[in-house]
Amino acid sequence: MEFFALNLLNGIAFGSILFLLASGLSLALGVMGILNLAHGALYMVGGFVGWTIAIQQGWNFWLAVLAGAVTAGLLGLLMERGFFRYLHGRLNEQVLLTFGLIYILRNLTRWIWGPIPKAPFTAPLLSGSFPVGDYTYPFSRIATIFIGIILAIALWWLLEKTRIGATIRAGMDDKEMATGLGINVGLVSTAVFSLGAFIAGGAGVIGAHLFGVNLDLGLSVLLYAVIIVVVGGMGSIVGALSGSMVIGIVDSFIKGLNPELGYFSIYLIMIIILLIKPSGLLGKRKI
Amino acid sequence: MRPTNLKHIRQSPLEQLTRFAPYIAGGMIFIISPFFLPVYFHSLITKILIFAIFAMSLDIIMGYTGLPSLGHAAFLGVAGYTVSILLVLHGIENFWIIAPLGILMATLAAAILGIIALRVSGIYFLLVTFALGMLLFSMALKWYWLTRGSEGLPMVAYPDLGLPWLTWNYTSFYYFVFIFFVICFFLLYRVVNSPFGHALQGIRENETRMRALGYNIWLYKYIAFIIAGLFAGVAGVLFPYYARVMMPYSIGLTASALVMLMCIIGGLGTLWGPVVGALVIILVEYFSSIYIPDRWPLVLGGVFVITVMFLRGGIAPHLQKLWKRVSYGSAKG
Amino acid sequence: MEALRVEGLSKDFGGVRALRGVSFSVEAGEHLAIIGPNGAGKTTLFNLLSGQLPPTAGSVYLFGQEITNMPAHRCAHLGIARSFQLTTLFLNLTVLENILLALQGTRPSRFQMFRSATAYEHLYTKAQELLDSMDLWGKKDDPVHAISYGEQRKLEIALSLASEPKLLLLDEPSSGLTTAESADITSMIRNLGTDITAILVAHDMDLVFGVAERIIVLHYGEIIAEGTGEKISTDPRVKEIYIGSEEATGNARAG
Repeated sequence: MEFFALNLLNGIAFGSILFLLASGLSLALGVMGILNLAHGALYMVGGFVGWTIAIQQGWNFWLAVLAGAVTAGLLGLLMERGFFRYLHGRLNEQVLLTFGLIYILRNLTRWIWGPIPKAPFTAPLLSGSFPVGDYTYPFSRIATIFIGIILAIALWWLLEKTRIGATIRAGMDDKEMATGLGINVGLVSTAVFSLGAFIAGGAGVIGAHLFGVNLDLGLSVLLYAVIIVVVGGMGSIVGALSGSMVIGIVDSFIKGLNPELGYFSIYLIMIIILLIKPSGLLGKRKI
Repeated sequence: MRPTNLKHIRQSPLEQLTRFAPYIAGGMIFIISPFFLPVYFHSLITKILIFAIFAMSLDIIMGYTGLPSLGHAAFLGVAGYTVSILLVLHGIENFWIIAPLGILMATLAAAILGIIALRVSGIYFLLVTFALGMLLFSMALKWYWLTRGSEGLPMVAYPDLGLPWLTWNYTSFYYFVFIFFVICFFLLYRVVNSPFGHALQGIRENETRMRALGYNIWLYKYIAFIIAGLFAGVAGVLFPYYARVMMPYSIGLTASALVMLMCIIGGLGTLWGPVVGALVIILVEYFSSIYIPDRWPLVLGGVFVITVMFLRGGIAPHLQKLWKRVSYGSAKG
Repeated sequence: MEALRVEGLSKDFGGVRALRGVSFSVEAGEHLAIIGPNGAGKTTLFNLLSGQLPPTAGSVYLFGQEITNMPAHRCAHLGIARSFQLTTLFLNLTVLENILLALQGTRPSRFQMFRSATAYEHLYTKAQELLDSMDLWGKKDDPVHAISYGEQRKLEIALSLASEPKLLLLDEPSSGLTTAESADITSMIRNLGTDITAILVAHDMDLVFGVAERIIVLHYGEIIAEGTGEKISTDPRVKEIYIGSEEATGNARAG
């Protein structure tokens, strides 16, 4: 019973971080058809910036989260304005460009912070844990779950219930039409992209207690985000959420049972979903 | 009814010569270049040819069929590891045994991964091939018992062809690879100019129309994917002998992205374009690693940006236009 | 002999019912027209018949054989061909390449990997026949995006004839064409004769009355009238759903 509870909690916490990651990628893909392979690198940069604020300087943890998010958001803004606006619809070029950016960001980060990974950290407030049966469970993971839920609700509300959200969804469905209606699609694109980057950067700090902060995060995080998008579909918050949760929970359970197999569990999930239901978990895929 | 005007497909000998001349010229350049280059360069041009085969194989699915794949290095890696594992860990040296096995494994891998990846298309296909490529990379990295993980498998010998009179060095290995390159180019050329190859292009241009015309789209994509995997496997069985070591890095994202870059810079859908792309990229990599060692990715990035901004469609279409102007000029003048 | 029989065909898209329980049949060699206001479900019906989409309910029989859930490429091999309302051509390929792909689609040589495509000379002969009949042979080496819209529409039809189909589905073949070009299409379809069974979706009443022996009227996914041109043009229900029905009946009497 405890095994079940612990792994479930772990899974949901993991899934929450994944959601923070994947939502940015999913939005960029769904709203603008932009594939940003450097998304994971943004997470990484955010994490390092957060580390500097929270650990090196010893300041407030939530300030660190904000700093990480803002840094990543600015980088995202630069990327969109500098490169992506010229590459609309050119998938191959986007792939190569963003792949190059992973490399550049990784090198820059290494240059600034050095090659040694940073230990996992979190807010002092959340450092403790509470008992679950014979085990204790860290507060930080519970907090992560809450943050994930809050963000999911916030994003859903933004997209479904506000005028801004309607504008974004309009741009997603039909760019030409939206432009014809006077919507500044370019501005919407930049805003959505930067928002996704912002969230990813903040996630880098929030998730630091689970993943730590290191130079390889760019690629490993990207892999998770990609698989979530494949499993859950792109452009929808519900899709990103369901994909993240399924992967987070199943992954935790399999790792809990067999760490060796656990390494490959996300691939297995993706393959099974593709073979059984290629339109994605929610069947919303526009193939 | 007018008698059929077949003049345009039955080309005069002069027209045929004009069409094949560039290929023959290119081939001649490859054949005689070792005579004009210092010996240590021969290893570099060998690398170019190996990656040329690799890039052509990707062109089949990306350029001709319109399937963007970001995991193509997986097939080169499967073939390369098969050869290396059999040679280094099991002592089987005969090239004529391990190479066909390597190519077979790569083809099998393509047959299996193709079924998974082709459940989706477009951007999802790209994402799935990326993930599958990373899966194979993880296996190469983690399964120490099979691949020696990040240590890699050191290849200390040249291919054992069972020919006692053959002395191996950079130059003889270059010509050995060149033979494979010519065979691959010839076979792929036939494929892309066949009805099958034309159908692939039709699929790239308009799937709905192709379906309505009676083509089984999925089957074509699948076969193309397997062919691409097979030829990537050919490059893969040659690669370890060139590189002297088989490492997970060669099967990872960087390799997949690099070959994609070669195809795009060279020109998708032309077959010879990716060959040019391989040449350009490997030369850029080589020269910038000498003169500006830490910054060569930036140079590569620069080349890429220039291509994207100024050479739409890659180098090949622009060279083609140039050639047309030259050949029409000489035909009429 | 019955070329096509449709029984209770329905198609739902999410919450939208595009077709409800459509049933009709077509005799071999007959030329049938399907008309109806925009959104009536005509193109959806074509998509179901030619296998582009699977139906939600109902069945389709081609010359007695059930083809209800067959995918599009299988339908093509069974003798169905269609032209599309929105030009669905290979825009970046030449006119000749377009027609060659069409001709190859139902032949076993389409899987040939080693012989050059130019070795199949009889296909080039057929291509010339088809393109000549549409006055397109002169433009054979032009990329399709460079020819005029009218020529593209004619090529669209040429592609559908390439497989020598038994059942031809023409979706708005004359949309966007000049009066002269439409007249060309009209006589071309008439000249198909009784070898080919043809179903036509059209808004152009001159074309409809000039070609069709029987007309089916579709509205909100249901058949509301069926019969000869005369019967349809005097049907009060039909007049009701067509704004400007006065013109429709006016044309029928004049033409």
